[in-house]
Amino acid sequence: MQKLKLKSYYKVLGFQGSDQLAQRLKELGIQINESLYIQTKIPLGGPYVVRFKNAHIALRKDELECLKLQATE
Amino acid sequence: MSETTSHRVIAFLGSPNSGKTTLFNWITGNRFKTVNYPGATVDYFVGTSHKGYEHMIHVADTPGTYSLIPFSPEEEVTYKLLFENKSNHDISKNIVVVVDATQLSRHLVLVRQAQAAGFNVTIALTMIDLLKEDNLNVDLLKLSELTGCEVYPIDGQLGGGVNELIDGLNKANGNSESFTPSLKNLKHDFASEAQEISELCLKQKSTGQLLKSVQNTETWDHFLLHPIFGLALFAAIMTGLFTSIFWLATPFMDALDSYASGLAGWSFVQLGEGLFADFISNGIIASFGAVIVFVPQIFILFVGIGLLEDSGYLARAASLIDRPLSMVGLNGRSFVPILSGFACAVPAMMAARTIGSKKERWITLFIIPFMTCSARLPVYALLLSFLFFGSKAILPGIVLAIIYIGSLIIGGISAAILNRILKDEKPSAFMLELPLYRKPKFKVVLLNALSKTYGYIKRAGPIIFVLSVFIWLGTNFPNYEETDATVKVQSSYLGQAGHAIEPLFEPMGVDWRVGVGLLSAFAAREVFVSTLAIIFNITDGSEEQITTSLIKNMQTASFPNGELIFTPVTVIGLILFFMFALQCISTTGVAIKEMKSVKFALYQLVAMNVAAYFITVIFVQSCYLLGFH
Ligand SMILES: Nc1nc2c(ncn2[C@@H]2O[C@H](COP(=O)(O)OP(=O)(O)OP(=O)(O)O)[C@@H](O)[C@H]2O)c(=O)[nH]1
Repeated sequence: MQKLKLKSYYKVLGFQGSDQLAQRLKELGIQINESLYIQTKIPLGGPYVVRFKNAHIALRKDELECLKLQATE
Repeated sequence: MSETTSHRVIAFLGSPNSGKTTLFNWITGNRFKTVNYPGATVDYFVGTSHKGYEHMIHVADTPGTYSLIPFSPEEEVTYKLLFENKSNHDISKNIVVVVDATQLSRHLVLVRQAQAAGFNVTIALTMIDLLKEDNLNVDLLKLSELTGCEVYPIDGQLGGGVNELIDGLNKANGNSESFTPSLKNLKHDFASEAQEISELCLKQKSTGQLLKSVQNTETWDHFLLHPIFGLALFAAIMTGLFTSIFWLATPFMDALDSYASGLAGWSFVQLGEGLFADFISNGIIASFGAVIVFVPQIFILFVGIGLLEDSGYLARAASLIDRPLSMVGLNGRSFVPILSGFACAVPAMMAARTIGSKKERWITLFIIPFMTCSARLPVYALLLSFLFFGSKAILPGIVLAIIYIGSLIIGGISAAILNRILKDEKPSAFMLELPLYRKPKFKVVLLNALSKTYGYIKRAGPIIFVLSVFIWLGTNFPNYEETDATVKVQSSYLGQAGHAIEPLFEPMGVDWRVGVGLLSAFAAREVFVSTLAIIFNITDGSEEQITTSLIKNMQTASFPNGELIFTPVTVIGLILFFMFALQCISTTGVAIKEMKSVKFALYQLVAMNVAAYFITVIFVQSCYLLGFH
C-alpha cells in the first residue's frame, strides 16, 4: 500500500484491484485526474475520510487501495 | 385537479441525501421523514400528487442510489422497480433524477446512466439555495441543452418549482408508451462527461461560501473524529442519549401513572361498580395505563436519534464504529440499524438494507432483536421499579444502563460467534458519504418523533386491547360471581390452561400467572405488563385496591404455600429472559421478508428463545442452590 499522508492532496492516476469496488468509486464521482484530499483517518484503524468535489466520503483502506494515487502537494 | 392522463408511475431517483424524499413530500403532501443521513429511505413509496396541484400524477420515491448497478439491497429496490418491475405499478418511461446542485458533477452520472438505459429523464435540481449562498448559479438552459433533459429548479425548503415540475411531468407522461429499459450500456464510465457538463453549466465565480461550509465541517470533524476526544464524545453522546430516557422522562411517567390509576378508580365508581365497570376499569384502562406510562421514554429515544441523524453526526458515528464492528463480522453501516433496534426492531431490520455484504447483513439482522427495544422498556421499568421500590431513581437508571450495555454485549458476542460460523461470499466494503454538519431542525425532528411514537401506539394498541379482553374474560369466567378470588382464578379458563403449562415455568421460579404473561408477550413484549396488571388485579386485589398499582400487587403475590412469587432472584431471572428472548411476531415477519428466508427467522426464533429459557432457569436454580431467594 502506498503510504498516505493525512491532510494532503493526491491526484487519481487510475483504478486497480476489485472491478466492483472500482466501478463504485467511479459512480461516486471519482475519475482519473481527480484531486483527492485525505482529510483524516478514523481512530483505532478505522476508515479514511476523503474529500473530492466538495463531498466527504469515509472509506476503508481496502477501498482506497483501488485508487492509484500520486501526491500533489 | 384534472384527472390523470396516465396511470403510469414516475420514479424519482437520486443519490443518497439529494432531496428525493423532500420533493416527494412536497408533491404528495406526505410527511415521510427527511433527515440528514444517507440511506434514510430503504424502500420505495408510491404516492399521488396532492389535491392542491392542478394535475394528478403518480410518483414513486426510491432509496438513494449512486448507480443503476446495485451494490446493496437498498439499491436493488430501485433496480428491481425499474428493470424487473415485479411491483403492481406500471413504471413510466419518464423518470425524474433528483440532482443536488452542489454536487452537480457527481449526480449527473446517474442522469447519464438512466438515459443510457433508455429512460426519458427529467432533472429536478435541488439545493440551489446552498449554491446561491456561494454566489454560484446553474445555467439551466445550458444544462437542459447538454443533457437533453427538461430541468426544473426546486426549492426543497419552501416547495418552489414543484407545480411546474408536476405540469411538465403530466405533459410528458401523457405520451409515454410502455417500454423495457436496457441494461447494456450501464457500465460505461460517465464521470468525465458529467464533470464536463457540470463545468460548462456552473459559470459564475464562487465566493467561497460552499468551501467555507466544507471547511467548517472539517474543523468540526477535527474534534468529533479525534482519536481521544472523538471517541470520548461518542461514548458521552450515547450515554447521554440513553440516560436521558430516564431522567427526562420520569416526571411525565409519574404524571401519566397517577392519571391512569386515578382514571381506573374513577371509572369503576362512575360506571356503577358492576361487571361492566370491572371490565372497563380493571381490564381495559388498567392494561392501557400500564403501557401508556412508558410512551414518554419512547418519544425521547426517537427525538435523540432524530437529532443525531439530522445534525450529520450519525454518519460519522457509523464511521467511528466501523472498525470495532468489523472485528465481530459487522460493518459501520450496521450501526444505524443496531441503534434503531433500541427503538424498534422492525424499522431497524429494514435499515440494514444499506449493508452490501450478505453475511454482514445476516449477522446484523440476527442480533438486532437483542437490542433493548422500546417494547421492552415497559417490562424493564416495571421489574426494576419492583426491585428498587422506594429507593432513589438513580439506582434503577444505572441498572437499566447496564441492561442496555448488556444487550450490546450479548449482540456482540453472538455476532462474533456467527462470524466464525458463516461463510463470506463477497468481500466486505464500507463507503459512506458524510453529509455537512448543520443545525438540526427541531420542528422536523419533533414531528418525526411524534409520528413514530404514534405509530408505536397504533401498532401496540390493538394487540393490547384484544389480549386484554381475552385475559380479563379468561381470568373472570366461568365463575365471575365467586367471592373467593383464589378459587375464582384457579377455576377460570385461563387458570386451568395456566396450570397445564405451569411445569414449564416452575424452573424459572414463577407461577402460571407469570407464565401466561410471558406467553402473551409473544404477541408484543409490552403486553406482559398489561397482562400482569389484569391477572394480579383480580387475584390479589379487592375492590378497594383497584387504584393500587401493579407493583403493590406484585409485592404480595404468592404461591399457594405462601412463598412470594416476585423475589429479587425471580425478577432478575425475568429480566434475563426478556434480554434474550425474541417475543415479537412483527419482528419475525420482517426477518422473513428481509432475508427472504423462513429458515433464517426460525433459527433466530428458536435460538433466542431456547437461550432465554435455559439462561433464566440456570440463573434462578443456581441462586436457589446458593441459598439466595
Ligand atoms: N438547503 C436545502 N436543503 C434541502 C433541500 N432539499 C432537501 N434538503 C434537505 O436535505 C436533506 C436530505 O433530504 P432527503 O429528502 O431526505 O434526501 P433523500 O434523497 O430522500 O435521501 P435518502 O433517503 O438518503 O435517499 C434533508 O435534511 C432535507 O431537509 C433544498 O433544496 N435545500
